[in-house]
Amino acid sequence: MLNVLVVDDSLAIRIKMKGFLKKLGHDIVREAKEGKEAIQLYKEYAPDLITMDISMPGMNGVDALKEIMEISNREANVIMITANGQDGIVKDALKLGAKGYILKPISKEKLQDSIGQIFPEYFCSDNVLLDDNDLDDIFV
Amino acid sequence: MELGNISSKRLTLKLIIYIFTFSVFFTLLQSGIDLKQEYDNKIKEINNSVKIIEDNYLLKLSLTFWSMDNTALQLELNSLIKLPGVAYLEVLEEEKSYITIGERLTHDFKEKYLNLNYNHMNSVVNMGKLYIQLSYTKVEEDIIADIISIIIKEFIKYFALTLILLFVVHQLIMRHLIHMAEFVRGFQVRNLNDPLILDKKLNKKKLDVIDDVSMAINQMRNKLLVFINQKEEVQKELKELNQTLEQKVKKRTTDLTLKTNRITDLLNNAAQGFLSFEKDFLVDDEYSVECENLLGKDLKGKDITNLLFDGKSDKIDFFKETMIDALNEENTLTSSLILSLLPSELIINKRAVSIDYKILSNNKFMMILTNITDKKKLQIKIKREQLILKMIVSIVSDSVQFYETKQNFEEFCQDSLLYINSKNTSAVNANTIHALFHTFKGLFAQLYMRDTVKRLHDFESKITDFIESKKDNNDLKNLIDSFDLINSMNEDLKIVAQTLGEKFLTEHNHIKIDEALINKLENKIVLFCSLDNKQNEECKEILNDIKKIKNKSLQYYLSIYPKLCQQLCLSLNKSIYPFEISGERGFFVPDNFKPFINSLIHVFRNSCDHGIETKECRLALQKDEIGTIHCDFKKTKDTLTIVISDDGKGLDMTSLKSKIVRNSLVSQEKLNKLSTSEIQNYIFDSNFSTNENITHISGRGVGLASVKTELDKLNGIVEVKSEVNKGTSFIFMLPMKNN
Repeated sequence: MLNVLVVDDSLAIRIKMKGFLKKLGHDIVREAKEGKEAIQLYKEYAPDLITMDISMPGMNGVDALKEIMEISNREANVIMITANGQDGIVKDALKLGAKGYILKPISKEKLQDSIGQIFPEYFCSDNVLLDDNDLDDIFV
Repeated sequence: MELGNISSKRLTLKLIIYIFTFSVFFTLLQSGIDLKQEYDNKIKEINNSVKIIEDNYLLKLSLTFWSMDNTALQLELNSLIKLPGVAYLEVLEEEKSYITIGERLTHDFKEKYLNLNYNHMNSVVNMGKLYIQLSYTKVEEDIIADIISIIIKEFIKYFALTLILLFVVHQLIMRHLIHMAEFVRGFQVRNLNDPLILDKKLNKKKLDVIDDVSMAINQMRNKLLVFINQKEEVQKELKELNQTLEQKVKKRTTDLTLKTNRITDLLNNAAQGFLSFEKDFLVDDEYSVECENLLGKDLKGKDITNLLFDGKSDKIDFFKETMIDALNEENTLTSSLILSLLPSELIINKRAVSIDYKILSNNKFMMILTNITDKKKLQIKIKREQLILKMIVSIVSDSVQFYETKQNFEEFCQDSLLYINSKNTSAVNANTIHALFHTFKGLFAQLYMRDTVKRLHDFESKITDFIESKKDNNDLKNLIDSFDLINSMNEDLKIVAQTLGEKFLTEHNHIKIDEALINKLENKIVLFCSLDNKQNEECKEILNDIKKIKNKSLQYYLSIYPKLCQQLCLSLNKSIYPFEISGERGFFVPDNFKPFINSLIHVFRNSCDHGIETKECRLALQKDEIGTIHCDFKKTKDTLTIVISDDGKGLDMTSLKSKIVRNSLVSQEKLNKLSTSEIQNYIFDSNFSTNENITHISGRGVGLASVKTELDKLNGIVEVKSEVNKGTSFIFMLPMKNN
């Protein structure tokens, strides 16, 4: 189970995201509406994973990502939430150290894939921690 | 040999030049010093002559002069002229020449006057002067002669010395050196056995440098001999090794070629294009055959980005940047994520191609191209089939609606030009036709007749353009004529005919009865009834049945809308609870109500499109994720009330007001005086829409206006009740008495 910080200015997306994360068996630490708040919450709670919207009022997602990466020495796991046509920005974010990105509209499957890329133990749909042998079976 | 001679001559010449230069320099220096000394002495001697005359002879000369003994004077002067440097002597008596000796010089001389005094009784008597001319010419001549003799002597001396030296040098060094040079030059691996022997006696106890050098050369030769022998042995070994190695390589190469061929065959037959390129984005030599099929012939050295994007610079720039970024990224996850930003499917040369990107270990990029055109075509075909099926199902399950809509539209097509009333302005006429198009579009959309809807949508757009262009009624007529309205349904009908058979279109399930005939029948029954009171009850029954044939129940007409709303909401990514029309089942409406009931589609569309929010929105507002739409009707004594309500976002009064002012429907002042319901009524005004985006479902602003038009025809009124975020209700009230 991962502790997740959800950063998005839209309440609807936050609710949706929380729903998906809950269904995937994760725990939502906190949610933030913009970058500054996200940085503050990251410092306080050091979550395992952050989902970060790119365009937000106030501090945007990329700037927040930059700062969080500095604080965490590039250790933080951040998934960027993007809309179509933001490829250039996504690329910058990945270069800054984001560990994944999800193209809107978000879905449980996309979220699961993205989390699975960072935490291979959550690759399986039913969240059961797999041992290495099981993983081998999947990848063969 | 030649070179040896020339080089030895060159050395000799150098030697002579050195010896000569130095000897001449030093000889000149030494002789110069000697000559200077000699010259100085001679000058001193000459100058001394005057002093000797002055000291030793002057007194005697004065005495002789005093005694006027000319012979003695002559003799004395003769002896004086023999003194070194004295060239001419003259005795002057009061500036007059008294006696001279020697020749008077005109140039190159030094002169001196000496007073001839005589001491006579303690007084000095000046008798005259002795004039002396001194000449240095002789001294200079002597010196020059000396110089010449010195030069000749020294030259002879040094020339001889040089010759001797040369001989010695040649004998001792030069000829040996030349010999050595020749030996070394003729040095060959083949004749290493002949030693260097010099033309001189070799005294082992008194070895000189030349012997040393020659011995060193011989030592070198010996070492070389040993080395070459060793080398030959090693070479022999190497040759053997090489032969075995060559055989091995040959075998391996054959194996490898076989393997490579097999892999190439595999790649070429994989129906996938494999190609690689470096940072310069030029395609490498090796690529599989499928690449040529997809990207064209002779790809080697071509820019891959141009092949993929056909010169679209913005896409190319992003592609290149992203590729390079992915290459430079050390983290493999980030690198693969960056690669995932690249297009995974592209249309290249009218073919759909899926592309996989890989970064190879040698900093090369690899692309795997797969032709997915057929797959895509199939997908599109399936989608099209699905849509057709949807249309067929909705037409069959709602065939009544289909026949009616079709018939109505056909009638409209025939009479379309009649809607152009010459009394009205072209804009009013166009608006009327526009509203009709809109209604038909909505009706066809319910039946999923996509092609027809698309055509009607185009016509609508053209009429909108016409309204803006402000042309007259004749132009409108021409425009409508140009539409070829009657054929707009053809594409869809063709599909229906293909699927369901021609019969479906031609033979309705209903028997068509002329309306006039029914009216005649009705009148007859009424007449009968009035004649015979006993039969009254039966008559009423028959009249009711006829009414059923003539009219259909309101419930029946409205029952299409719940299904429509469900479909609409689905396409808008919203959801609503299923609902039914509630109201009296057996309530029949007259024929003239039909246009109004058909126009109600716009109210339902409005609720779905503008009323009900998206799921996210509803969640955010803490409302039920699924929306609700209601429709019920009630018949009181002389009024029919139809209520259509939703629990959506309600009317936004602020944007409503600003929109009213912006579209100059009413001035700001007037607006402030209006009541809420009056303002809300403006949504029924033509050219009004609160939603900024025009969608295919609603938003042109004519929908609600056409409802109002139909309502007015029936003298009905409408009331809007709306509360923000709670919902909107449309309450239509129609008088039944006159109808």
